[in-house]
Amino acid sequence: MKEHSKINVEHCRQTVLSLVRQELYPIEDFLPKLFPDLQSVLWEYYCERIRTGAGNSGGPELDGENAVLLAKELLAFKALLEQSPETVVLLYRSYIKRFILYQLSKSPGLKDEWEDIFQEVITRLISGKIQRIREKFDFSYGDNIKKSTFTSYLMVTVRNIYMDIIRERQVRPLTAGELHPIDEAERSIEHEDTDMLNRLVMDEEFRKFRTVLALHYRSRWKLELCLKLKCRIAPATDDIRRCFPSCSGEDIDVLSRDYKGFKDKRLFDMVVNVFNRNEGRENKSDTLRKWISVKVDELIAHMNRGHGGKVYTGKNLIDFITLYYERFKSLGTGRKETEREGGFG
Amino acid sequence: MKTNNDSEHYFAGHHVSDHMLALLADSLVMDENGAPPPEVPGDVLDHVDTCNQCKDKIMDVVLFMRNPEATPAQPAKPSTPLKPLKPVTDTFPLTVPQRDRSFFTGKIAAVFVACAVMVGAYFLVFNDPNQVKKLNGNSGIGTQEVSQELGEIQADAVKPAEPVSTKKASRTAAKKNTVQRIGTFDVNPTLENMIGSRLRSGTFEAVTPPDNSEVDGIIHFSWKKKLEKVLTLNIVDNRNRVLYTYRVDGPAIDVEEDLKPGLYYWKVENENELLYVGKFLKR
Repeated sequence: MKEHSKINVEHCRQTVLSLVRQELYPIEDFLPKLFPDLQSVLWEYYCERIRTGAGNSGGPELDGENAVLLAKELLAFKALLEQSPETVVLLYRSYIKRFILYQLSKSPGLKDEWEDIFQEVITRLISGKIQRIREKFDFSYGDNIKKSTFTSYLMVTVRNIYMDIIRERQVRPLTAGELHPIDEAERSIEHEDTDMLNRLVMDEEFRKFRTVLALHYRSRWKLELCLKLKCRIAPATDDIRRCFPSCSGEDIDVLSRDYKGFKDKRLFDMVVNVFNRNEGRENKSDTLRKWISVKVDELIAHMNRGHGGKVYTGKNLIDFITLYYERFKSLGTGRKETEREGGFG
Repeated sequence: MKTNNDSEHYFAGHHVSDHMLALLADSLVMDENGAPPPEVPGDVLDHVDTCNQCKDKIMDVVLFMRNPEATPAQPAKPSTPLKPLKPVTDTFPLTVPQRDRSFFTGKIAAVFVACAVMVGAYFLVFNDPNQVKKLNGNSGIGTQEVSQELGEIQADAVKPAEPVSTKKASRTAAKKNTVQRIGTFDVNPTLENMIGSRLRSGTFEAVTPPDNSEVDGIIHFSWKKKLEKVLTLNIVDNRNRVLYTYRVDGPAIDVEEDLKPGLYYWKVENENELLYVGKFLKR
């Protein structure tokens, strides 16, 4: 009898976990490496719910069809978040740990405290934040629950908690003169892999730069136009039209001239009228020059963000942007970009 | 659930709400030129365009989510001391300096010299019986006889090691396992991953001892509420070997055992499942 019961439980377990992996939590959305506890957490939750009376069953010895129906009812992501948000936190536990370690990679002085910080994040999530997420998260985006959006939402919350903890510990962020990840990479590679590492590093940095540009939802085209001018790269007609759709031919000529050898002040003196005409303003050239200067400082801060130290400065960011535009000669979404052989695609 | 018409859905205080940030992050994870989703209104985009804090929030999430597997599940131990950042004067592309190969040559030479010294010492000292007797007499170790013909050393019989004595637990209902060997302060990766409440609902809340705390003398194990069934408390070493086991009927137990310095884990179980794993240190 006991043996029969054991076999039934095992069969039920296999049925439920098969449903979990194929339908409710597909492997492509919940990679085993990132969610190693997913099956055990969900199975334990399923068993506990049955023990406490869900599905009017005294135990997990359910036949295949009943097990599937009950599993769909209990373990579907939306239902799980509604009924047991803490279980969702347990599902994401390993993922959250990686995120904490990723954030701490930018603060080497805190690496020894990662366990405490991680536990504190989990505790704060379980003790209130996850319930708030449950109340605020909007599942109304179509029929399919956008699990990736929930993951992003959870990570934004985790990131906020992490920053609160760091602030409470009054941690000084890394400044110039302290280690950054590129030095760590230098210690471990062989000399022959230098070119490969450089290319991989640059591709990743270009991708990050493109993301930063994309976050300028309103001013991206003007920003890119000004960056090109500042780097003394002649903007293409399409670049100018994207920023100023009703730009005249004369204005295009002014903006697309070769300004190599001109100082910034002289350059912006010559182009400010084009900006004023197309934006309906009366700004001085200093205003435009200061605007781009502030934007460059912001770009430096954003690009330094993933390094935990001051990698980018005013000078080398201009060099970086020049390299970027040499590789990717066309601007804009959907435009085919020039690709180096074997480079980023 | 908030509706799309509610401004609180879009903004939280002076910044964009987490939900909107998540939508924008989601659109950028796969495609760095990803257009904002249609659900995001224009004033949210206006704000993000000019707000560095909101941009940073999105960047932190996007840069991680693009490749979460790149971050290891456990932090790597530093093998060499960190070196200071070189001043950033080089322009792109980045270059990497060559490793100093003379370092390895010196290391090999030092090993060779050390071996030569040890071989020379052996022939000079241990082949001369008078030298050996002088050393043994001064050090006070057990007497050894050296065979002059073959150079063999025969050790005197030494006292056998005393068997490890077992101790009884201080509680009347306790039973324990013999202490085999107490480990060091290295963490056990398997147990580390299990630390915390193991209940799906996360409702088992341990109070003392806090994780990573140092204990001395009587250890007071306690949790927030008394559960219905009698529980089992196990104290294990960092190799997951059970050292002491107690049956606990209540929300607390005081334990007084002679623990050697090291890292220990404690587990609370009922008859069906593991409820909690905690960690403490004895210095």
